[in-house]
Amino acid sequence: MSSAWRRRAFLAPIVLLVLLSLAELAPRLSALQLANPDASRAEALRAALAAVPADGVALVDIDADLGTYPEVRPAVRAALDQLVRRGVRIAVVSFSAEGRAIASAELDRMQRLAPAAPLLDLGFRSGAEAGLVRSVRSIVPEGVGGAVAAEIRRRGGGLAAFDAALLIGGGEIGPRAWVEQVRTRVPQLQMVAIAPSVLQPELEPYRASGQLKALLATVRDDVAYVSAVGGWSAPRPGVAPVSGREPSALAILLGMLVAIGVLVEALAGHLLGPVGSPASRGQEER
Amino acid sequence: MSELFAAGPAGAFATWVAALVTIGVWSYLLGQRRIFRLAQQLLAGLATGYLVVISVRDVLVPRLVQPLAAAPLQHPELWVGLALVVPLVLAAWAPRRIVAVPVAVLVGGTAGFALGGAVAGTLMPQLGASLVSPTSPGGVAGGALGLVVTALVLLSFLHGTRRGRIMGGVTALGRWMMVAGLGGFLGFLLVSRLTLLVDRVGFLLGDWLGILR
Amino acid sequence: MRRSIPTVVVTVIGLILLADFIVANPTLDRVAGAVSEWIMLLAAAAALTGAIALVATHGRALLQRGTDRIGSAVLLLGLALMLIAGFRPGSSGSSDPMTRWLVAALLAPLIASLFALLFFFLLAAIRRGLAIRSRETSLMVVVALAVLVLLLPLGGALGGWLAAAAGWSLSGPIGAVFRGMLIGVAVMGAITAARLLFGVEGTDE
Repeated sequence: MSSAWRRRAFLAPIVLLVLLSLAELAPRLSALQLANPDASRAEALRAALAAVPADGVALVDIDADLGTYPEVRPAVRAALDQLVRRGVRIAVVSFSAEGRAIASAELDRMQRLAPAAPLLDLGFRSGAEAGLVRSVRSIVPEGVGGAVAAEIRRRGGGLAAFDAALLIGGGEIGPRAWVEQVRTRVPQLQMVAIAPSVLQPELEPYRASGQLKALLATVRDDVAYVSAVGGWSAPRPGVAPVSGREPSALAILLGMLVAIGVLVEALAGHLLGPVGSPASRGQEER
Repeated sequence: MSELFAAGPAGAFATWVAALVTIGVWSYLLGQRRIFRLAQQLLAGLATGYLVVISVRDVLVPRLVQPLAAAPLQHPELWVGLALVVPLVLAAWAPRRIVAVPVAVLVGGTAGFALGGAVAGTLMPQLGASLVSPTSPGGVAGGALGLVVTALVLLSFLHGTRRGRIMGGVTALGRWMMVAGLGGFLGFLLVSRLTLLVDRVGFLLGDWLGILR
Repeated sequence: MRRSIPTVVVTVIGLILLADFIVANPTLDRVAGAVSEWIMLLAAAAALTGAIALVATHGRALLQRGTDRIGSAVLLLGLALMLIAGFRPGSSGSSDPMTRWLVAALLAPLIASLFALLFFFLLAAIRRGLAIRSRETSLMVVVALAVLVLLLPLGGALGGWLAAAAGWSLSGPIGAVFRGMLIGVAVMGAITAARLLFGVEGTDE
């Protein structure tokens, strides 16, 4: 391995980090648009959540992974805000440990931003599919009180008590498990999902078949949805934006162009030159 | 605010620690394997600790210990649960034959849920959805294409490499389509990880250094 | 055929859950509910089992002057910090401010930073994959490239066209491939589960 190549392999990630930082600091370019121009998926989620009656009860299942949550966080917060603004009663549950960690933080954030919002923490349920199936009959833990818990118990106490379920998916347990275990038992429960891009191909067939009423699983759809419900702007003076910062379109574009460049270079090296090509040198990369 | 803790002194301290942790992990890019390894070990300890906390406080105590302590005779099924839980927790010291029983319950449960869910939740609805719905000429063409692709991938998935020219060609075509689909997955995976990288850079510049809008 | 007790337990538990899925019967429902409850308790207990094994392994490494004593100490420190936060008197467990602080300051950034690094690792892995010179890897990379191009965050007419093409490819060919794979996984999963439940051993080929 040549020293020039070693230096290049060492410097490339650092250079990309510097470029991403500069892109984050750069002003917005009108030629770039992170929000998906095809807003049909974002609109489907907005409409599904808007269809929950104002006096209804929505279940929010937070089972995202801590690693991929930053990708979906703006959309999740905007969706929660869409429900809270209309006064919909919200119950939050998790079936994974990392999901529970995120749920605790989001519940705390919502209680600070909207102290009067009718929220219920249903806590963590172990056992993955077993926990899901058990929740079909009974989801409110014994000893938990309050208006939201009382309403869920009045409606039967199980998953059928909810007007809709917003599923924040992750790798451990996600919308697919909900479709397989819950939709087969409670077919009337409307399910919508927000998941990281990596789950998009796996979940797309469930959206296409109508088993998921709506699905957001790319950052472009997430941004389109947050923009559609006004999540980037502060709802009240002095209060932080609901969904945090909008991701930098320039930084994303830059990273994608770098990825495209690396892949094209490697592919060209593979297809054109057998000796001393980047592809063959790739064996020596760390 | 974009992170997971409230503003204030504790939040500011959390932001500083989070920033240092991020830089520590990324020091791997500069060849600092030692810090990277320590970060991984800290992560393993914290994650295991968190799992123990929620397992005990949110599950074992409220669903097993408290009901049995409050009304021991009213929950006979929970005594069976206790008899299964204890050997599993003490698996390091208990005889294998005894530990095998709670493990068998877990395996049987997983298989039972998987079978029903896969057939009724995925197999039947997806088979139905793959059939063409003739709404428009374009829709029929797209639906037919989708049906062909799905059928080829399924054949390849279930039968692997087949002998015979026709079936061999069909399964090979299905396998190439599956590989292409995995390429699509790879594309989404790259975008996903890039978004996370950009978010982390934004966290360092915005939440930590405060030089972003 | 003589069956071991665990095999019988697997079969009985699985069949109870399957029967409850198919048949609506109050008695069966109660039994299946109890079984589900046991599985939930066992899943939680498995976390304790794992933690005990981890403490034993790294505690031993620490005491016996293993090769990575500092690493073991850091791991046990992280574990202890979280246990103190979750079990100290007055703590509310996972929703306790100290637990949430540890998640926000350490656990979440550690995982997020590792996931972000995967962007570099993935690109390096793809380069290595191409160095093997397999046609499958080349096709995968070509399709990944196409997806990246379709997802470029551009505005204007070009951006609109790319977005439309991305939507079509997702609901069309990529969706069809993954539908085929999902059905395949469901069939294989159902067969594996059925073989496990009915104690069928050996291969079918």
